[in-house]
Amino acid sequence: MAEATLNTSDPTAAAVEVEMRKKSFWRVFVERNKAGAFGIFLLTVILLLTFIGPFFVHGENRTNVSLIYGGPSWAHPLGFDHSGRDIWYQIVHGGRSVILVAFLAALMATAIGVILGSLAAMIGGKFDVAMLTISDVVLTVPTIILLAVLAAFVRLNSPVQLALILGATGWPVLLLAIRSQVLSLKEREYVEAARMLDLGMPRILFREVLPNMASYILINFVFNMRGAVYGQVALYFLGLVSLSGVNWGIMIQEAFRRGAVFLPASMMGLVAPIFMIVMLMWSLILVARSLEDVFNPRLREP
Amino acid sequence: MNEPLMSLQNLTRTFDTRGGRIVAVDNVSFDLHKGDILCLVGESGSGKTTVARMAGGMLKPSLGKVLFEGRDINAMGKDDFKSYRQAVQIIHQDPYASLNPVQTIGEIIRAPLLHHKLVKGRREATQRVAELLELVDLSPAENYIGKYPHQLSGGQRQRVSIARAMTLNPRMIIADEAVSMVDVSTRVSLLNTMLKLSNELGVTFMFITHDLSVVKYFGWEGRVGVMYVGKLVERGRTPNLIGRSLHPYTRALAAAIPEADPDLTRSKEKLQLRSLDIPNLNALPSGCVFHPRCPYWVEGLCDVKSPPLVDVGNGREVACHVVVRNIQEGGNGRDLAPTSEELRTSSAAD
Amino acid sequence: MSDATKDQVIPDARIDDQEEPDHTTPTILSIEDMWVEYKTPHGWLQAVRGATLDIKRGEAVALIGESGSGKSTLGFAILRMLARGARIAKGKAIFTNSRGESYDLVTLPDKNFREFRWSECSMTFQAAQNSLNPVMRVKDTFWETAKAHGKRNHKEIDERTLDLLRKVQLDPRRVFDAYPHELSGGMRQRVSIALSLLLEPDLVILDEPTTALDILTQRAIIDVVKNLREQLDFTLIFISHDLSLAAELADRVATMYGGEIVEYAAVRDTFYRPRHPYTVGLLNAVPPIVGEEFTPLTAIPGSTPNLLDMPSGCPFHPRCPYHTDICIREDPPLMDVGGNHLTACHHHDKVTRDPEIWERMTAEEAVG
Repeated sequence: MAEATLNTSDPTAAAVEVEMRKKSFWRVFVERNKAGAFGIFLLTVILLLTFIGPFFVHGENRTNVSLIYGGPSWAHPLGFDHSGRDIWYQIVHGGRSVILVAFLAALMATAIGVILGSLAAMIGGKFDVAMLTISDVVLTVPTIILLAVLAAFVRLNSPVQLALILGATGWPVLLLAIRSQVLSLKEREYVEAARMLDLGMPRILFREVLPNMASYILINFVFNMRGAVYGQVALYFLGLVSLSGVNWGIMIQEAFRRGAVFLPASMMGLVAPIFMIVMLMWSLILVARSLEDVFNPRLREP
Repeated sequence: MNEPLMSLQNLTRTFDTRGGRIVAVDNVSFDLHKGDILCLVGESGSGKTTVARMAGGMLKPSLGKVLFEGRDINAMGKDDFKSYRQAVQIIHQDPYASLNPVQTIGEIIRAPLLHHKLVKGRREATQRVAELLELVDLSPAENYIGKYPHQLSGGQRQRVSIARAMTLNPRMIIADEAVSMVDVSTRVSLLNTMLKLSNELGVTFMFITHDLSVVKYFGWEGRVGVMYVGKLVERGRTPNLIGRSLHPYTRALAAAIPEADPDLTRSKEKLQLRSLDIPNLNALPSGCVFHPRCPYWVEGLCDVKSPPLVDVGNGREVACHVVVRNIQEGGNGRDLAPTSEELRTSSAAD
Repeated sequence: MSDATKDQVIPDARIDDQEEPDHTTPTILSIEDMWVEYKTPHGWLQAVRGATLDIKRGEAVALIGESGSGKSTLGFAILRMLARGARIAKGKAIFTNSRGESYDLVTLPDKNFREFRWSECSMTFQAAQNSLNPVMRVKDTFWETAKAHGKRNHKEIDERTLDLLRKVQLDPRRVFDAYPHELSGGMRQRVSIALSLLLEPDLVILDEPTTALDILTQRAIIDVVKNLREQLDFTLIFISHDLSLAAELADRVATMYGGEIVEYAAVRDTFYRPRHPYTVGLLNAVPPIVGEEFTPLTAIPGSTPNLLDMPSGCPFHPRCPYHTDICIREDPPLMDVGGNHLTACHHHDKVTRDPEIWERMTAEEAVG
């Protein structure tokens, strides 16, 4: 019966344990997962730039004919675009709505996907069939075309509306993914043990099943965000939403329309927002990949 | 005799597969009284786990009943089923899959205590968790409460599973291959822990295993049922059955097992089977399911008529035409004449 | 199969009560101070810690141990089939072929090593029944393997294949043209064993040959291996957690614990006169099945060591009822205690199979 004690009563084992506890979670995380740490760093920089930056980068987004394609300077490090507007100002001020809309859209799609997907798996039967059918239908409608049609009826000028529409079309894939994941977790022996102990469906779902999918859900959330960013850019690019305000998507659309691809002088107007979007995506993907480490106690505790 | 705690009555379970309907469990009955230890032995495909799941209420029988304290669990009202559900617990085989990897040992054991309001408040819960861990010989408990499952060895995890099963003070534990994935050197102490629950707390055990050596140790005071492709082929008190098994299948099993003793194992009497193949559940042989492998089968009898489980006295029951006939004719049921022309090399039959 | 029964007692005759150090039979494989490491997030983990083992030509040697003992790692290391992230940190594995040429398998260039694998030595893996290519017929698997080693005579290969299938008690007509999924697990396992013998290797390594198989199928595999050993001339190393498999098949048994070989002796010495407390503990934990008497069993206290955090001195000392101060300080070397019986225990002269001392220790632990 001493199987119990021996392993842990060993003084060296205890010492190692204490030593490991001293290291903070973040330190262990950074040591283990350099790419993830870099992703978090990059994301932080982008968020600071787009959410805090606007308080420091002042100016106006006004057309100035004298500054069309003006070169970079200390005050205007990225130069000016086809209308003589400051590109740096637009980069700093034009990210917030893109990120917010993506975040809201992903939050909504994830919430719908997780709730309906896990319920479909847990309840099964007719509810499951209904959920599957609905998501199949939504899946078969091409998002961009749906948005194009919607844009014809609804004036899509508020970020919240945009987020709602992107969110409303983004959930079916997630629902299917969550559903199949719950179905497989449901068969795990520890879930069966919880059923044997009569712990009730809510607890089984929220304490036994979903925590084991936390990283999976978050990764899907991040991928959904990615989809929502691209969705927005596509909408702007196709001119399906009103082009007022400062926004990376609008920047790309305008620069492209003005032939930035052929005009070296106007390249910055196209490259800068694309660069920001690529960096945002990259950081999100790195963060998503490293989340497994955060949620898996096996990796969390040395 | 008083009423059995659990009574399995003519349990049959079929599954529909792509290859057609298979009968995983065929007409299995037995009773368990309070404090009993019943071992169910069989190889893969024998249906022993299916029986365990039906007894544990995780699977409904296609035919037959599971009676708990005299009442059919599949016809119970919600409240009765709840109390049955809490009184019968299953311990699974795989100590790596049966504990939630993201919960600590403390959380795992605390959850049922709090959910069913068996304790008042966190402090009492922690107190009870510690008691349960000590009960399964994980002591001192504080070394384990904050740990995650992956930080424990296989044997320790299996103890946690037992402690979790004990939270609701169950009357009966169904252990499904509970020690087969645990290292040899720690297996005995795990069995001792379970024996303690049986001896001191009167917990009834249904112990599912493929390992006769485990049966011999754990189930010595109890009874054994031997299953073969869904049927109970032999049943009896453990000392009887292990030492002098009757059914040719049981005898073949006992003879085939290598022993940890070079002289013994190399001189052990072997029982040659006619075929090595376990029959396909999709196409079971006619008559006795064992006859295509049985060295003693009788043509026109064993391949035609399925043998019932017959009481041959001394608390032993066997489902074999040949053995029963031998005993009825005054034999001991073991000195049987092989069906000689059938004893060809297994290579042809394989 | 009936042949196997008749020959049942023959291997027994080979086991002498007291084995004398054998200087005449040549050594086929000599493992010297082998260290194998795995890279883990927590640092390098030593899975094999200085294993030394001499295997004579023609012997059957069992490598016995529990999970984490390093037995499989040692087998993989010999054949350089370690998983990614594992390395041989130190040590030699000197192989001597039938022509008397010796070479170190650790430093052998890759090109020569490929030749060595299969033609001099082959390995059948745990769950080998699932390692056959599912889209290839049995005969094609044999043919491809032979071809890869420069044998192209179709007729010769087919004949050899059929012969081997017969030797592993399979019906060649049924198996030769079959796909793996048409065969049962036990049959596939036997096909794998036959395949490992295709190029007439001198040394065959079987990793957990009976694990996860049903008892009756296990028995068939055991009988097949016994038969093959009588009919063909090869040296056998088999890796198993199952002591009874060693009792059944082995000439010599190497017991591993915590990455070290703690005892290496003739099979009857290991089982009847064990000189290492761990071997004793294992034996006291595996009951005989036959017999109508109850056999009390004794557990080894504690659990298998954490390879990342090995105890000081002898790796077994925290679980050992015989341990004294020297065991905590010094890891005992593997030494010959007479009759070619090697053990790594400071107190080998005190070790008996008496279960009482274990029970006392368990009781003390419970009190403490």
